[in-house]
Amino acid sequence: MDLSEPSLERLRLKLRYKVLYHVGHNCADVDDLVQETLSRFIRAAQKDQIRNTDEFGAFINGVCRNVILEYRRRVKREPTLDEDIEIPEVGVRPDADILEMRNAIDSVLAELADRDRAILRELYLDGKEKDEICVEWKMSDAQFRVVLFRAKERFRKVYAGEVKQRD
Amino acid sequence: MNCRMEPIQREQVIAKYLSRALDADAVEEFEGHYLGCDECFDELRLSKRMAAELRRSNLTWKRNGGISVLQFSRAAELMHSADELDQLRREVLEQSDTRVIIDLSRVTRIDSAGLGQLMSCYSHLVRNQGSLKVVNVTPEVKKVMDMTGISSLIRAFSNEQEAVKSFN
Repeated sequence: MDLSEPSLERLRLKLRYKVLYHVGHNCADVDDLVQETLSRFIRAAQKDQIRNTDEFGAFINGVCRNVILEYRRRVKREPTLDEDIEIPEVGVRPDADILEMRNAIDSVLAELADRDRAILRELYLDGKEKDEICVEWKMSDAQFRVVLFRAKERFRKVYAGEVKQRD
Repeated sequence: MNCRMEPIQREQVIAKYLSRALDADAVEEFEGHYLGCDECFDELRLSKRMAAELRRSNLTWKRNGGISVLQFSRAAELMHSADELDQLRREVLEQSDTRVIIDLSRVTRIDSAGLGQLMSCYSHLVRNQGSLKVVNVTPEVKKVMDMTGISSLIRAFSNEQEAVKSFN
């Protein structure tokens, strides 16, 4: 089991994704939940309580689920957070960087045909099935694949390097 | 869920996860997987950001001297079935502000649907004791607005400050 600093930081980022997915961006306790999950996971690893270390994702997922459940119960019992309080974003990058990337993203979006944008929206935002989209747009699987992966590759280039940083 | 599945299948799982169309068991399975798999997690991050950009409206809103100013953040065509028409409708017709300026500097083309939407915004604002002005109209759009007589109803200004002053 790799408990080195880089591995744990990577795991922390992944856990942040999961926690945010379940508690939302307005929750002020996201980092605490991530930290609590990591602490329990490390304690379990040090005590050799993780039976299948190759499948540790499922294990830590279970730990995180429990931490979130406990948190929800606690918040229900003791509602302390004022919902109107605006939670500041952490890790805000300099404006110039954001502007530069914004321009790059805008040019990627502008390069996409209206049809491609609509197809991607249906897939990612509306949760439509690939087959449903193919029928609607009268396209083959291969054409759908081209639209999807061409767009993804363009975004991948924009985020190359940047994606290594925190989201 | 595993990363040996076809990339297109994996992408579908990711897309459904992002649009919250996966059932609870599938969410658990996917999360259990990506927490232990760097490759799938990187694909998820990339798709999530792409989805966020797709969701981002092209229309930005700001206040200038108590007037609402709407501006397209990237090149836009106010044409039939363009997303921008829907965004414009939401921003103007569904908001309470009745004094509105639309910056058309990034609008490169307009058709009857776009003109119809502008007129619909204008009528809505006038009915509510407000007004609509446009600024930085591109030559292509100005030509169409002049031809159809819309420019006699919706006044165009060469810059935002002039348009803001005209409300006073």
